[in-house]
Amino acid sequence: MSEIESITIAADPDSDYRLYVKKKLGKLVPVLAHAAVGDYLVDVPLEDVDDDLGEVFAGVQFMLEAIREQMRRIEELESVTAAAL
Amino acid sequence: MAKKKILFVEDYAALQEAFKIALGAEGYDVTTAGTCHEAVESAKADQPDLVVLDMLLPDEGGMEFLRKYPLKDHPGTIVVVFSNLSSPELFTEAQQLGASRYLVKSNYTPKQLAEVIADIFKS
Amino acid sequence: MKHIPKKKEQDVGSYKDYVKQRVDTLVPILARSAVGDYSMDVPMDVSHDDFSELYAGVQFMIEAIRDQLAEIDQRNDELRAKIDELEHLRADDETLLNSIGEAVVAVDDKGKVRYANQEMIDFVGIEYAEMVGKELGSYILEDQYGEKVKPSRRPISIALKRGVRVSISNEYYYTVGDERIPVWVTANPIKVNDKVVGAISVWRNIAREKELDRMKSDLIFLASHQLKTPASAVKSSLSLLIDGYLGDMPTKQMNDLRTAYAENNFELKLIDDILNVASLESKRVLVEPERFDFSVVIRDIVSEEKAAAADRKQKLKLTAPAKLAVTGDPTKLREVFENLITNAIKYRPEGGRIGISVKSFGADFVVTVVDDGIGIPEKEISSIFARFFRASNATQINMPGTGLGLYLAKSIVEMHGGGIEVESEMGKGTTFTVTLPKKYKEMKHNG
Repeated sequence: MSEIESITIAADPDSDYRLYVKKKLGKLVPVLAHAAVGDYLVDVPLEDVDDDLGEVFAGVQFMLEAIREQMRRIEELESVTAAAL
Repeated sequence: MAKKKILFVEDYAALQEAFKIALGAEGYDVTTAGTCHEAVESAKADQPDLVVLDMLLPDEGGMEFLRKYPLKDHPGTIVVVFSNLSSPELFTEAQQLGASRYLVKSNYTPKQLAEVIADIFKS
Repeated sequence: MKHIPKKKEQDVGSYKDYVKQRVDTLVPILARSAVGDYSMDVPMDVSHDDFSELYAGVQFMIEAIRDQLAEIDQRNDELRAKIDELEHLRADDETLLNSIGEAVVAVDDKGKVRYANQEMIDFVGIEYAEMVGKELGSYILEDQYGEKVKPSRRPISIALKRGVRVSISNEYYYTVGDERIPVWVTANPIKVNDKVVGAISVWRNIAREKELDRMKSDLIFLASHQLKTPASAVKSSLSLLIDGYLGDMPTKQMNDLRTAYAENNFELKLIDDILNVASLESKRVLVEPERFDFSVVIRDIVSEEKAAAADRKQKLKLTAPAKLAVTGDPTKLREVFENLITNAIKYRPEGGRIGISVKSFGADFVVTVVDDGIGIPEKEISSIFARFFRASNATQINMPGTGLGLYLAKSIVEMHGGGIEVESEMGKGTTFTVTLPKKYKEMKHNG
């Protein structure tokens, strides 16, 4: 990655865009890193910008919320089962 | 002095006989009755001074006699209940209807009853 | 400088297209997940670019969600199985409770109904849904006087409060429509680790038993009359002869008559005693308490017995307070002291003194009957109150007795919440001491 990086900075008209994408993807990193250790409570930073990554970000946030919802359901089931005992 | 009149109400003939003889010998004018009905009729006709009253009679209970010959209408009459039924409830009811004494039959010989009656008439 | 492959230079130029390409690969997966379909995997990432972490992250989350779904399924299954099991147990329990044949109701620690079996529902005539959660106390129980039983005195309240089993031998009544049904109520606390968490109450309709009891009482009542009537007739006929109403009687015949008379009297007493014992044992409410003056009763008894005592040249002396207000059953208490005094008179050939004293001691009163008669053999003192027991020296002197008198006396005294004691020395005399509470208190049985 770093190889390409150094080239683009030197000669690429798309370099701004690359940086933009890279920065944006970078914002996902903490979210994914937390998710990787089981912490799904960090939200995806959603911006009101219509770019190519918008859909992806929204999709990831949606999945996060799905996970949170399921966690809640599991907790509920746990407590109901415990009570039933 | 006129003889005191006693009405002896008892359905059991042998007892009736025995007490009639004894009380007669003691100087009382004894009339007997074997049923409640007879007793009421006899009482109304004779106005006895004392009634010896059994509780279990063939037609109605002795209690009925007290209701049909109310003692408040005949203040001169003394009623002595003489029965083998010994229940406090019966005694209380009889008392409320005007009976003065409640004696358990099997505890008294004719002579002893005569003594009680003599005591009653003295007081 | 490193050699850069030409390929990468081309990629740089269409970076926007590249981004679009990378994003488009993910979109289907995200789209599916948006509708709950997590079955599609993120395609293997061979590019090793800025998107790699994203790809890895999305795949990871998909797998996490799949795991969660699996866990939810499993827990759901577990829960369902548990519910089934509990349902079964409950159905079993319910079948059991409905098969008991008794009306059963269970309440929680606050006295609110948690469960009632079918019999209970049928008994009280209230829908189950209406019963649950309400206090049992709202079902009105009346006592035999028609008074409402106070909630705190109900068996279930006592069981909850004191953690003890309660069985009421009093009569309670429950009214359903027009019918006033006698119920026998018991309550048991439910304990978990020694802590009371609820209680169970069983109600039994005892109308039939009461009917039987009443029939028995009626029978006894009637038998009392029927058995005694002929004996009374014998008594009166014989006494006519003995008392001379039918003329003089030669001595020889007179002796036989007297014997016949005495035997007949004994029979009358025996009938009385047996019927008393039978009626004591059949009734549930054994004592009919009322307020009365005990001094009047004891004076009455003593004056009754004076004649018999005089016959035997015995002196009866009574020491009692002028008035003694007491609550108890006067008829039954009379029995007790008549028995004791008659015994004192009987069990002494001739002469002697009998002392009766009545003393008040705070909430109790004590009656002693002292005689200087034949006494009771030491070994037999403890059996003296047993049914049909007669001391050996009593039978020796040929003194008739039914053997029931003291048994009855003891039963009656104990029913009043009192006690009876005896001290005796052969040839010297006997002392009976009866202690009774001035206020009769109903004795409740437990269990």
